[in-house]
Amino acid sequence: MNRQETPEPMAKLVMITPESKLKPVIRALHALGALHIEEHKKSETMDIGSPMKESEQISSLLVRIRSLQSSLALSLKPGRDLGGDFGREQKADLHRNLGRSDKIQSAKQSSSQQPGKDAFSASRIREMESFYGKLDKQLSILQAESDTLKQAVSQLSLELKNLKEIDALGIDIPFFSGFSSLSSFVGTVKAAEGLPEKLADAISQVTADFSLRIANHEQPLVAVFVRKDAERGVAGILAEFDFKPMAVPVLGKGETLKQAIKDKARELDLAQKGVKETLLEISQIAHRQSKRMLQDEAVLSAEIERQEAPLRFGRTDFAYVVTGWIPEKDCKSSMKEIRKAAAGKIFIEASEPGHHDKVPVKLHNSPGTRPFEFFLNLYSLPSYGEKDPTKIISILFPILFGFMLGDVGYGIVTLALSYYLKKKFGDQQLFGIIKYASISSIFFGILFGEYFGFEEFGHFEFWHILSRAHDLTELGIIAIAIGFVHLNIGLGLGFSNVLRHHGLKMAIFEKGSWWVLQAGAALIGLYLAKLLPTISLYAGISLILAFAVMIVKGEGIKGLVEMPAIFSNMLSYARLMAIGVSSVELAIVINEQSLEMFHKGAAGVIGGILVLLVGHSINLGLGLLGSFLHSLRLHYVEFFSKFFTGGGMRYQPFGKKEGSD
Amino acid sequence: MAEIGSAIIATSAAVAIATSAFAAAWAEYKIGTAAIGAMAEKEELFGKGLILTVIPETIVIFGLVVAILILGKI
Repeated sequence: MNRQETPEPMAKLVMITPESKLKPVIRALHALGALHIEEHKKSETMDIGSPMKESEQISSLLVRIRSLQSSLALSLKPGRDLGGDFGREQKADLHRNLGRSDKIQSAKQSSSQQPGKDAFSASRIREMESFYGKLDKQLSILQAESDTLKQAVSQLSLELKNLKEIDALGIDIPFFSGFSSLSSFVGTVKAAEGLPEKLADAISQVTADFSLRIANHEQPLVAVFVRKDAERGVAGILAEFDFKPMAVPVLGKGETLKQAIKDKARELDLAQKGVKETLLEISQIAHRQSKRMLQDEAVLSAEIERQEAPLRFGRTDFAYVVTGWIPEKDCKSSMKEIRKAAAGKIFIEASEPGHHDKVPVKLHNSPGTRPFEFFLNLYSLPSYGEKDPTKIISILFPILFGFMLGDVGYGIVTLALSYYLKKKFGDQQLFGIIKYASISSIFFGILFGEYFGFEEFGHFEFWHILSRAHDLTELGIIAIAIGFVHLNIGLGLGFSNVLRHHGLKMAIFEKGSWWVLQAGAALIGLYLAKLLPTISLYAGISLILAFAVMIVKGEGIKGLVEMPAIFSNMLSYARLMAIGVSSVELAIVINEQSLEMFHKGAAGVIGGILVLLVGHSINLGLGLLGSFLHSLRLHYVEFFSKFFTGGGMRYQPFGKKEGSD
Repeated sequence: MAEIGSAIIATSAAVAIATSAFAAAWAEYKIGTAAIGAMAEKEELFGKGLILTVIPETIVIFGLVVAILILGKI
């Protein structure tokens, strides 16, 4: 059996270790990063373990660091140039480096565990606690300072504004108070057309003795002076104009308004500078400490994982039981490591997976086909011992995709797109798939002679085997033929799966029977097309009857009900034609429209180019999405249903970061 | 008369594809809503939801095949 075709073989490890050796064992397991721990369920005989004693301390420390990180990251946002950005890239980078050094370190120390070099002594935690406590305090003082200063800034700028407005009125401040017979009103009113006249009119109805000043006509500021006895009446009048009184600033002794404005402006400037300085100080701290914080956070998260590991173990009064899965190839060396860590005080047993074990699944494909694991991750992993279809999908998916998109121009654009996306967002499986799919599109584009929907250039017709825009019938037949081949590959895979697990008899009944059905249908079809004599009709009917008996034996009545499915499945591949043709036709329409515009002067040329660009972008987007989803669907629905069981549990080793593999 | 016949054939083809498209759309609407609902609960169901959602698309393909067969009669 080819090892590449099934998920990685696993061995089951059962370990029993005394409580005294629990810590070094967990450390060794974490460093190995290879054991998928099977969680223990609480039972009558065995409880689950409880987290180690420092876990609470560490998790609160982690919370503190993370909250510091997020508050500092916020303060850093405007000043990216400071370089202390807790951005994704840097973080990922650091995590990678940390992971590596962690591994190297653990390999060096192996599991000898000198207590002095224990990365997680209580003193280290204490040291971190005091460091982050101090940092927290320092930051909160700075934060409070900047808050007070910000408040002062807003207060001062309000006062300055008031002073300036009063200055605009042209009345010096001492005039506003200190008269026994004079009342003054200062404040804003609602803006209105002809406000001074209206206001003067209204006030003169109450008293003839008044003085009115108005400044700033968008948000008018008024000052009204009247005799004390008219105060009440004027207040009523002003209320009708939406009067809002303004607090008149108090000046120091011997200070003039102009001077006051100058002084306030200086004060404001100082406060603003102060705010800037404290913010700068905070961001400098962030810049200085960002690296250490990231490191500590990574170390602590790893530690908390170790601290909480006993929750997944079984516990008796004196010992812990760890059950897990490890790739068979790592089994021996890992067992040695663990034994060494526990100084021999451990019982380890490795065994082959039993029939009822739920074994975690780790796919292992060559780098070339690995992107296509994406489809299984999206759908369901194969169960342990089942064939991993990644490799075959990596060949079939691009063929179906290319057949639908099938245009040299579009293929080149999507190929470039896949490289661009890869550069921008890192190496992701999806981009790898798009790359292969685009290459296939270019290939089919050459076969169909399509270049951005153009089948000819001027009078030169591109070479092609088949024109998708014209040879619809042939295209449909080829599409169904592809379906026929595709489905039968699926049946073949199914046959070999059943053969391996349930023997030849079941394989013939369950999967082979479908070939009998297809042969029968073909015979009847050929008879109906008058290509074969009558005898073939009877042969066909008897084959179908044979199928019925076989499938009932293999899958029960359910199988019989599914009989038409294989033909409807095949018909379903007509979408290969339908989507392809719709994409071509749309491209042709875009080209024709724009070419027509090209004959209509300069504006027409610009319009034509726009139509070309926008039209082809939309068509490419639709084509990419449609071709991708439909080839995916053909795999998931039509192809997988012939052989794939799935339901595998993902292999998630203890101590390994997700996605670090 | 031949022209009326062609028109009827063309219309029948249109009806074949239109009704099957409506049927598929309606089915996908129902399944899609349910799939999104399920995904809100459990994000890993995206793959399965996607598959279930596109299953009715085959209906349109059948409609298309029938339409092409009908058009062949012109």
